[in-house]
Amino acid sequence: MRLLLVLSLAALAATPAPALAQASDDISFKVDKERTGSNKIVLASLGGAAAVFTGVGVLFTLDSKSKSEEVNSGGLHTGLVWTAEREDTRESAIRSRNVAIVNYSIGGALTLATIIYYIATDPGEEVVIYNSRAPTITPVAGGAVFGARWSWQ
Amino acid sequence: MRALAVAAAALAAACSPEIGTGTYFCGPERLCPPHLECNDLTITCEVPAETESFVCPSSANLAEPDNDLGSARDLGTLSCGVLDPLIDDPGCVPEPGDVDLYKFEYDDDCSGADPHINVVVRFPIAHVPLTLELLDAEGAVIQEAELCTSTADRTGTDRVCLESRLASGTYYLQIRAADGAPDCDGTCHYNRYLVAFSLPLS
Repeated sequence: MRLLLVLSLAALAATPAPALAQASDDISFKVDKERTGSNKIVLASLGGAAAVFTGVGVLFTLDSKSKSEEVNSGGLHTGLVWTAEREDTRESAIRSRNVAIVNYSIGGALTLATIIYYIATDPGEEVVIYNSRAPTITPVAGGAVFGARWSWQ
Repeated sequence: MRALAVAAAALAAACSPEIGTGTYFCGPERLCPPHLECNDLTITCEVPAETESFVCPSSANLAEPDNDLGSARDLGTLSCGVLDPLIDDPGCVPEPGDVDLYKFEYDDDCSGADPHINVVVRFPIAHVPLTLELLDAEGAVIQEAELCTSTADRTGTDRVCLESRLASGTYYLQIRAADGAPDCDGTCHYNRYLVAFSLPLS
């Protein structure tokens, strides 16, 4: 036993003394900064409005297309008489088409505004450093264990 | 923004009603889509450069004048059971006040289950609507024709039909513009027509 103890002490004496990890071991990360709440609200509002106007444009496009098909002749004689009702359908198709164009224009402009606002209000990035010398605290029953990380060099 | 304009133009082209020239018959009072006009000869809606003015068929003028009982076109004594059209030539009402009269003698000594006269007048919808009346020997209206155009009709014309069981005697068929009928405020108070006149036995 005395021999084992002597050998252990000799091994410890030969091992370099432990030291706290150097600063060069710190790990750093670049992360995006979080957008502010108002920024998110504005973006959501612009994007939502763009979707709404575009959706309305799609509805009016479908209505215009449906009514146009009711009176389109396709270059062939229809055998039908042009009536006041058909004239109303034609005018309604043109009105729906014009409303669709307006909605698409507004939706497109809002989409562009959303993109520009998103880019213009980019909060940028920040550096986060992971300090490897940071002490550690581990809760245990009845208390905690306090320690530190270090590395042998 | 240019992309938006191009997209809008494409949408306008895709969702615009396309009504070609000559693809629809003229509606009442020469009604046509805004970019087309009624061709009074073909009664179809066409580009303005291709439209033609109304002209009565040349054969229609041969019977004129026939505006009163004394000058009515005489069809003679009609035989029972005649199914062929008794009036071959097209007729025409070219102006307000014009009346076409056809005179015939009817003999009710016919065999058959239901001898009667059957008259159908067909005319374009585009111009002033016409009416058909059966007159007695003194010119009093006995019966008026009713509108009988089929919903499946694809000719751009209307029809008025008259069916009557007559006693022997002299009668007249009177064709003229309907009272108070729409006529483009007087600018389309004209029309041409075809008459199918038969005497079936049943």
